[in-house]
Amino acid sequence: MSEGTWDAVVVGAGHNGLVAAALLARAGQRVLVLERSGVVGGAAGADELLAGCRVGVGAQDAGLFPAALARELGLEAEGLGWVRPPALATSLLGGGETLTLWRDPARTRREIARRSARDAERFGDWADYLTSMAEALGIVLDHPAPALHDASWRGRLGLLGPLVRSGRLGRKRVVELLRAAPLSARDLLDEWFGDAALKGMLGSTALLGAGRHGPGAMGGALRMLYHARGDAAGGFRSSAYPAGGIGRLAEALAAAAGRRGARVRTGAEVERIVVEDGAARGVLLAGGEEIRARRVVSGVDPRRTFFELVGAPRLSPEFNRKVTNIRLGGTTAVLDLLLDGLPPLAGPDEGGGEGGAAGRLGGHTLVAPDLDYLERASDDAKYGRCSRRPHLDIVIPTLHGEGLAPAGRHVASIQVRYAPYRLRDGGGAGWEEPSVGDALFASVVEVLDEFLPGLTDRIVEHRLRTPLDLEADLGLTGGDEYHGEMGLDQLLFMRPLAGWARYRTPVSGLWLCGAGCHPGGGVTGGPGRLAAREILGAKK
Amino acid sequence: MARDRYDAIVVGGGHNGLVHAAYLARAGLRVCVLERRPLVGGATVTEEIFPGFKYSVFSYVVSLMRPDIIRELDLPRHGLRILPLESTLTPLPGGGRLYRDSDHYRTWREIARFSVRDAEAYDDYGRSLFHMARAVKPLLSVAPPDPGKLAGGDPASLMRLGRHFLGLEPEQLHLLVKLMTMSAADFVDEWFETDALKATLTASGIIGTFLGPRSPGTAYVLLHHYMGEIDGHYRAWGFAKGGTGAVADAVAGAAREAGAVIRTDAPVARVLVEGGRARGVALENGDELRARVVSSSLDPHRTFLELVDAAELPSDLVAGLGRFRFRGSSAKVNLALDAAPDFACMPGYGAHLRGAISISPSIDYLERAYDDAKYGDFSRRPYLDIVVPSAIDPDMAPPGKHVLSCFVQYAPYELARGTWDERREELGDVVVDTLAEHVPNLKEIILHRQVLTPLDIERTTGLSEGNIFQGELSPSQLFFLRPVAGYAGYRTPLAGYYQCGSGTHPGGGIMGAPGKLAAARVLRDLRKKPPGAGPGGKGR
Repeated sequence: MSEGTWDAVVVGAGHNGLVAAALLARAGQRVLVLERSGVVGGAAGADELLAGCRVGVGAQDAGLFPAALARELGLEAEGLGWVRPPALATSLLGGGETLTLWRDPARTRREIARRSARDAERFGDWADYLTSMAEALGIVLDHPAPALHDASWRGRLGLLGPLVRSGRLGRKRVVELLRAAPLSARDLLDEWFGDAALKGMLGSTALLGAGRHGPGAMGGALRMLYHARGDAAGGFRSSAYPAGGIGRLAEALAAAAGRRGARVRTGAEVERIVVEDGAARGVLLAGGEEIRARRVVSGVDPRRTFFELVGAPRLSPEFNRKVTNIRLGGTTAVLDLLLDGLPPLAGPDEGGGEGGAAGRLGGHTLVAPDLDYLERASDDAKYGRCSRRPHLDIVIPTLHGEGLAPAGRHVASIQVRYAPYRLRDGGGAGWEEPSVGDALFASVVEVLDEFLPGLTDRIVEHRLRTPLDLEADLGLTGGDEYHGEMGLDQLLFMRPLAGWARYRTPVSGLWLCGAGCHPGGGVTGGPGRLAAREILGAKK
Repeated sequence: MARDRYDAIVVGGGHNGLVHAAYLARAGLRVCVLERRPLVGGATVTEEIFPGFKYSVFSYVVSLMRPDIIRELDLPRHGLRILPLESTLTPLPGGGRLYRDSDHYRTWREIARFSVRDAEAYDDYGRSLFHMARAVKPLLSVAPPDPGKLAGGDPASLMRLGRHFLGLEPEQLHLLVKLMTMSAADFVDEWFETDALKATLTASGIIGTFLGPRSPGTAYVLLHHYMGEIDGHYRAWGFAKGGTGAVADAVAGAAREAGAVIRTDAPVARVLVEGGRARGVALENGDELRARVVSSSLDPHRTFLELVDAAELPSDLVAGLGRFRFRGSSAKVNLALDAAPDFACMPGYGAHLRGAISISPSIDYLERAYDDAKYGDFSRRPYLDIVVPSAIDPDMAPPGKHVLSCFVQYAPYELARGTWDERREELGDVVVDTLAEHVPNLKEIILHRQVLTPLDIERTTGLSEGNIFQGELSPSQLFFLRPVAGYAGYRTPLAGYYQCGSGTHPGGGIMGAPGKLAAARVLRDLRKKPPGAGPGGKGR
C-alpha cells in the first residue's frame, strides 16, 4: 500500500467527526480529518460572525457532552473548562415578569412558589423524575442501537443487552419510560404542573430536533428526556458552557485527536467519496487532490453523504427512496446580535448580583411564555411559513468568558423557531429573497420589544442566518442541525435508516458518524463515539 | 344458594360485554348481562329516532369484528349480514372528485387523472398495509403481559408472538415500527403526492383521536383501521344489514342461545366487594345480584372509579387511571332525508351512494380542522365520514327516502367557549353547511336532524368524555399499557372482578377481541376450558 494511504479519512470536523477521529487514532489508526471551512467544530464550532467577536455558529450549550467522554479524551488537559451559570434558564413572560430556574433547587422552588405553591412542591420530584428517566434512556442511547432485524446469533444476543440493562434499572422505571417517552410534552407536563409559564418553559426543550412539530406532538417527552441526559438538568435540561465559548470544545477535541496522531486539515473540501468496485477507497477534494484511504468516515448528514458525496446512481433505487424519505430540514434561524450593554431585567431578588439582569440572563433566556404560544408558532411552520410570533432561545456567551467580544460589548445568539427551510406560503418567495429574512427579523424585533424591552435599543450590529444560510455555511442539508428530525420513527435502529443504524452503509468501507446516526443530534459526541467503536470492532 | 345467584355478571351490554357473555355462557357458566339502556349494543345500536327512519346512531360501519368470533359464535345464523362498502368518494372544492371503488382499472384511471405515479404506487401501498395488518394480527389474539412479573399472562403465546415478530422480514418489521411511531401524513407522504388521496387515506388515522394528521402516532390508528377483514378481504369495510345494532343483536342472540340472561333497563350502581373480592353487583333500584365473577365492559374510568371504591384499589392503579386519556374528539350527525343526496361532483343516484363519502380534500384541511379543536373549539370545516345506509339497505328508510350518517371530527369534549348543550345545533349547522357545499339539494331535503356531541355520546352510551375507543389509541395506552401497566391482563386487583371493554387490549372498534380475551382469562381462572379454538388452544 502506498505511503499516502490513510487508515481512515473523516469527512467533516464537526464534533462527532473529531470524537471519532480521536478514538480511532487512539487505537493506532492513521487518521486524517478533512474540514471544508477554516475552523473546526461544524455546527458546534465558533467563527467571527460579528466584527471582532468569536461566536458559536450553531449550538452554544454543550451540557449534553458526557463528562466521561471528556475525561477519556483528556479534554481538560487540552485546556477545556466549563462554566455553569447559577441560572439554568429564565423565561420572559411579558410585562417585565420573569421566571428563572436556578441550579440551586431551593432557589428554584422559591421562584416557582411565587406562581404556584403546588408546582413548587412538585418541582423537586419532577427534577428527580427527569434525571431518573434520562438515565433509563441510557439503556439504549449509550450503546449501539439494538438491531431487531439481525437474525444472526450475535444480533440476537445483542437484543439481550438492553434487556439485561433494563433489569438492573428496575422494571417499574423501564415501564414508565415506555409509557412516558411517546407522550407529547404537553401531556407529560400536564401530569405534573398547573402553571402555564412553567410548562411553556420546560416544554420548549421538546422543540429541539422536533422539525415543525410543536409541544402537542407525540414524542416530545422523549426529546425532553434526551436533552436531560448527562450533566444535572435541574428539572430543565442539561446545560453547561465551555469556558470561552463553544468553540473551545471543538478546539480541545481537535487537539486531543492531534495528540493521538490524527491530522486535521481545514480548508479542505471533500467533493466526493471515491468508490471503486462498490467500496470506498478515499476522497476527492475540490481542488482535484485525491486522498486514498482504507475507510471513509462521514460526519456529514446522511442525505448529503449519499446523494452528493457518493452519488445516488451508485446506490440502489430502494435505498435512495429511503434516503429521500428521511425527514430532514431545519426549522431554526439564528440571529446574532452585538450589543453595547445588557438590558435591564428585574427579578424578585432585586439589587444586582446574581439575582439581577446578568444573573438571570446567564443561562437560556426564553420567549416561551406558555405551551399555546409554542403551539401557535409551530402551526405557522406546519403550513410552511415562519412563525409570526416565534419562540426565542437566547444565549449570551459573553457572560461565560472574557475576550469573546470587544470590552463593554455583549453578544447574544438567538435561536429563532420556527423558520422552516421549505416555505410554502408567501407567494412562492423562498429564503433567497432578502425580504423573507427581513420579515423574520422584524417579527423577532417585535417579540423582543415585547418580552425583553430595551434589548433592541442596544443592538450595534446584527446578523440573521436563515436555514438556507446554515445549509450553505455549515453544509447541513436543509439547515437541519440535528441531521434529521428526532422523531420516534427516526431514532434508535431507525436512525438514519432502518437496517443501517450501525454506522455502516451499503458502500463497503464507508461509515457514518454524524448526528444523523444513533443516538442523534445535539453536542453529545455519541454518534462519533459509537461509530468509532463499531469501526474498531469490525476491524478485528 | 339464592335463586338469583349467577356464575358471572357482565356489566354493560355493549358488543364487548355481549361477546364476553357469549363465550362464558358457551363454557357452561350461568351468565347475566346487565344493560342500563332499554336496548343492548352500547355504541353499537340501531334506533328509529325519527318515525320510519333507522339510524345507526353511533358506530356505523363494520370491519374489525374478529372473524374467529363471527365463526365461533355463528353470528350469520343469528342474523348478521354484512353488506360491503365498495367505494370511497372524496368530493373536492369546485366540483372535482376522487372516486375509488373495487374496479381496479377504474380506480387506476381515476387516480392517474391526478398523478400516474400515485396510481402506480396505489397497489403497492395497499399490499404493504395488507402485510402489516397480517403481521400485527397475532397481537389481537394475545393477552398482554404484566411487565412487572414474568409469570402470569400467557407465556406460551407471548413466546410465539416474540418469535413471530423476530421472524418477520426486516422490511416488514421496519415498516411496522414506523407505523407505530409516525404521523399518518408522513406515512402516506412516502407513497403519494396527490393531496386528496393522501388526505382521505390519512383520515383513518385521525378517527377517534385528538390528534391531527401530521401528529406522530396517527399512523398506528390508520393501521388499526386496516386490521379488519370481511369474508377474508382485509381492510374491507361493510355495513351490517339492519344497521350496526344488528351486530349487537346477533351477538346477543348467540349469548342467549348459550343460556345467558340479558337484562335491559338494569343500570348497575356498584360492584359488591367483600374482603377484597367481588361478590356481585347492586343495581340502581337497590336489587343485589350475587355471582362468583363480575366483568365490567365499561371504560376504565367507570370500571375502577365509579363501580368500585377507589380506596379498595392500589394507588399506582388509581394514579395511572388519572393519567389515562379519553379526550373524545368526534361527534355524529344523523339526517333523515326526503330524497337521495345529490352530489355536485357525481350527480344523480348511483353506486357512489353505496360507499363511503369522505370530506377530506387535503391534509391541510384536516390539519386546520384539528387546529380549531386544539384551542378548544369544534372545527369550522370538519372532516366528515359519510355513509348513506338506506342506499345499501333499503329497509333503513321509507321507500324513496334516505338516512345519512355523518361522523364528524373534530368536536372536542371540552369547549373553551360555551357548553355543548348551548352549542349543539351550531355544530349541526356547521356539518350541514360543510356537506351542503358538495350536496346542493341537501338543505331542502332534510326532514330530521340528530346531533350527537361528545357530551351526548357520553350521556347516552356512558363512554367517558365521549371517546369512541374507551380511551385514546396512543402508544402510551396500548398493549400492556392499556389501561395501566400491571393491570392490563383483564384481571383487576379485586379477586373475581374483570375488565372486558375496549379500554383493554387490543382496544376499540367493533372488534370483540377484548371481550373474548377477557373471557379466556376468566375461564382459565375458574379452571374452565375456553370453548372453541381459543388463542392459546392447540387442539386436544
